[in-house]
Amino acid sequence: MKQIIQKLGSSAIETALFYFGYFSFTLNFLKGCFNSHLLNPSVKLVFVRQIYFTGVQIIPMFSVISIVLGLALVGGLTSFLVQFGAQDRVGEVLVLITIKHLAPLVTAILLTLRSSSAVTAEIALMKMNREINTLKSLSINPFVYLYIPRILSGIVCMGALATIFVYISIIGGYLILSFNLNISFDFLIQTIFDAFNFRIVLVFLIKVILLGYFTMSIPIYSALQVDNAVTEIPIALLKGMLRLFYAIILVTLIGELI
Amino acid sequence: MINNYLIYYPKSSLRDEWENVLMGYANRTKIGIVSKMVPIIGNLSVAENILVAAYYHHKVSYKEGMKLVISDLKKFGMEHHVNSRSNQLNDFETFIVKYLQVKYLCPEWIVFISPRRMYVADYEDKFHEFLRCEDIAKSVIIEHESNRELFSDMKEYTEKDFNRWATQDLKI
Repeated sequence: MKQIIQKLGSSAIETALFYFGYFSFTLNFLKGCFNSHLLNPSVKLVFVRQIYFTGVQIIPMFSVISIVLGLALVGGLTSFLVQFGAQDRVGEVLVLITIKHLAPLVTAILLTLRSSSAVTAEIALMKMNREINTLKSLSINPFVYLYIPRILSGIVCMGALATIFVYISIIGGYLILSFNLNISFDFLIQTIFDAFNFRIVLVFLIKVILLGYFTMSIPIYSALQVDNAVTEIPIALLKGMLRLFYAIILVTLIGELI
Repeated sequence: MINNYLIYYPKSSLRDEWENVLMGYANRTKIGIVSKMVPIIGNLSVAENILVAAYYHHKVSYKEGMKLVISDLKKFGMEHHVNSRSNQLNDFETFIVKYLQVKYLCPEWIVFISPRRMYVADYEDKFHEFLRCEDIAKSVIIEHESNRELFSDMKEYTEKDFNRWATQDLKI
């Protein structure tokens, strides 16, 4: 019994410490966003490189996944709705599923698998090898030089890739299955635009910004908990990915509430 | 007036204590530390490592920065390492990159902490040649007292107590 209480207590303390630490990390991020060094060419270079690693290198794999999901969505859903004579609702269903739910979620999962894990390992190694101390010793703010460009690139890439997902999945899905569908492309686009409204765009933007922030900030924060042992890196990776998974669920729930 | 000092420590715990003091000071003002505890950054090339501080603080252009770095690397016979990563350098080359990184920060003081720990004995002569040839206005070497004889011929350096240097020169 005593052991259970101790375990519960220690996990409660650990959780509280995480939330407190992560909250102050977020405050530092917001404060850092107004730092004049952020416009420095060296920081811009880090930002551009991270955009390349996060948003550009992923495009081939991302396009294939978008088309496959587009086939299932546009093909499956559209033919299902047409079968039941509900072709007028095709746009509404596609907008709701693709833009509001699937695009941010699939993008977040793919970015988590590809970039968040890489960023956790990179920052954890830098912390363990005292390379972050090197930056501090050169009077370089690691928040401005290392963390903020990565977080901002996460937000930008999340937005861009989620938008690309919407286009590829709808257009690609339609083009591949056009012979099988009894509706024209013009009709499909028209119904999609009819179903489009400000609330959908707002939810999409909120989800994209929050997920973009979480996919980079949680791995960075988790990586910074590493001390001197190599064995702490997989633990940081595991904790970071788990926290990120909870964050994705939280954002999905927030999206439902708006 | 000689502004180059040699500071000896009797035990490594004292060196770590001094290093922490200096690291805290380096955060606020510009004091360049060349030490094993401050490694070069693994995911940056040699040129990027050297220029990181110059880009951040002095907004040096890429072209101008590269020109300076290549001429400096040539001086040490390391121009072929301009795009190398830290794992492609030997101990002494790593030391030189660390020094150049700090030099481009343009600090008031350059502090070498336990330089003898940063390279193997084979590079001893090279290190002395480096100290003789490199024109550093204000530099401090913090070394273990057992290595005192290694610096006995360094006329440009005078021995000083760490606390005196910290209070008189650094105004800590």
